[in-house]
Amino acid sequence: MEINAREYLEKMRWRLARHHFVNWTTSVHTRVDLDMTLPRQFLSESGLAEGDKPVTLEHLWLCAAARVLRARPVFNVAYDGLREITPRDEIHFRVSFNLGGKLAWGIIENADKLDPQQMAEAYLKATENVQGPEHVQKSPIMRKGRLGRLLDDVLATAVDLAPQVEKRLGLGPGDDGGTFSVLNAGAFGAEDFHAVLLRPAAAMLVVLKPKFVVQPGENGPGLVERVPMSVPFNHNLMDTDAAGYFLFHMQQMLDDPEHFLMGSGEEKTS
Amino acid sequence: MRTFEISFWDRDDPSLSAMLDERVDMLAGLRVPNFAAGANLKMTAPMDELNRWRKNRKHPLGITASVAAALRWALESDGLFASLFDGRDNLLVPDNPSIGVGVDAGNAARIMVVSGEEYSDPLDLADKIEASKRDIPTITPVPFSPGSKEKASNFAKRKRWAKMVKQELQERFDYLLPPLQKRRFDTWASQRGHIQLHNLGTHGVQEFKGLLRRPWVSMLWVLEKDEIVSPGDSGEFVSSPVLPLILVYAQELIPVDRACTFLSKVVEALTDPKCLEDRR
Repeated sequence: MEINAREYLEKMRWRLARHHFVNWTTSVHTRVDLDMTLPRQFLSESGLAEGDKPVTLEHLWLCAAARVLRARPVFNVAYDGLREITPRDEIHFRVSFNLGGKLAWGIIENADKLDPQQMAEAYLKATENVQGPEHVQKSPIMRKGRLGRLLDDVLATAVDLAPQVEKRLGLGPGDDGGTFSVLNAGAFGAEDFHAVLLRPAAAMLVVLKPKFVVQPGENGPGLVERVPMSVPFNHNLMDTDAAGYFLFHMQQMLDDPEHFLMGSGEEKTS
Repeated sequence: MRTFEISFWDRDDPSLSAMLDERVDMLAGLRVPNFAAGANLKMTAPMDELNRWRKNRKHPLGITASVAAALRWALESDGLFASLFDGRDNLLVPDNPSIGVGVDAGNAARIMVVSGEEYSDPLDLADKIEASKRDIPTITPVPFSPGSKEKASNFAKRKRWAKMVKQELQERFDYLLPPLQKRRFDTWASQRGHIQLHNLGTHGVQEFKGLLRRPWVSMLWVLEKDEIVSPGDSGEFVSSPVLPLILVYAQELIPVDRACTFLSKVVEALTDPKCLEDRR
């Protein structure tokens, strides 16, 4: 494949700006392989999988993640990396799609207020207005030319040494869109994935390729479907076990979708 | 058994400083701005066919050489992964990338670099690696010395500090002087390769998370083979070997779908290695 380096860099320009080192957060990799036995059983018994817009496991875990976020709002905040946390009342998912093998991002608004059927409809609707992986909703400043880069580097070093000057210098980390990103890397075949989390996100959800593991059952060993998921989060904000609790909470909801995921679920987060 | 007191590990100790000085170019570049935003992607490749193929060849191949061939094959469909990148404006995509391979040298690994001119196709590369790895000189373990307890002179300390700062500034700001950056890229490719492959499976490593230094855009790591259990044709459970692969790549430059496609290509070549021969 012929690659035109100049064109490619121009296309990725704002994504590169978002990845400037001052925007990286310290995140811990925590992965839990979520058991999909009960949610799959729920799908087949409820008939939701056979409707006009069929509900899939992906819609169920999106619903579960949104409701866990409502119960654990710190995962949904905007964080400047130092001392300013901005709570966000609304939960807007930035969701990844695999469109013909290509990654695209779409937005699902107010994801926590959707039941699985509404989630399936919102998911389908979001695919109509997607952006490529190079898209950035709001980019940090990135000057052109060698001197522009030098100035950016000097300012970034100043921010690195004294983060409180960032606002005074009129700088900022930019934004990718949505309030919480859900990346289904498993749709592209990823079995494990350590992503680099960028400010102002406090966390994200990474879903990996489903796998079948042999487990002892009542009638001897059998196969159990598991979907590995991880939650990279900003370690400045939360303790090491936070992601474990997040994923454990998701598993609880997925094990009882009738109770936790149907309706708007305002009061059913625990 | 030799024992030592940990308190002897003093940075000012001349013998320890000498050891660090040998790696000064590495140490100076270990600042965050000199790293790429390295994401770690894992996939596994089934090994049944691979094991049969590499052992039945006229010149049998080891795992490392086989993966190197698969890596080179995948690079033909996407050369971006063997490019060198300064983090912003300078992206060099070579036509014929040099491949660096970590080879076991007894007590530690040595990096063997096969330049782009030295091989004609992926299998040629694999054969060269297989043939050359026997000639790699063994690294003799250096007996640990507890240090001299002598303190380095102030002059030696200042000299060392100046050398580190010079390296650091060069690495961070070489974009201001393009010839300097070109020289750095060229030296990097010839001494380390455009992309590196390491097989940690020989040491039994099962999990790994890597960092990525600029100007590399990606590196491939092989872990110890694993077994997956699945139902066989007649209902019984069978175990089959798989080879875990970790691709560490620059997240700022490469989207995750492109990284998955690339690593899937490596997996594809390992799943059906005959495609490497068809390529000839």
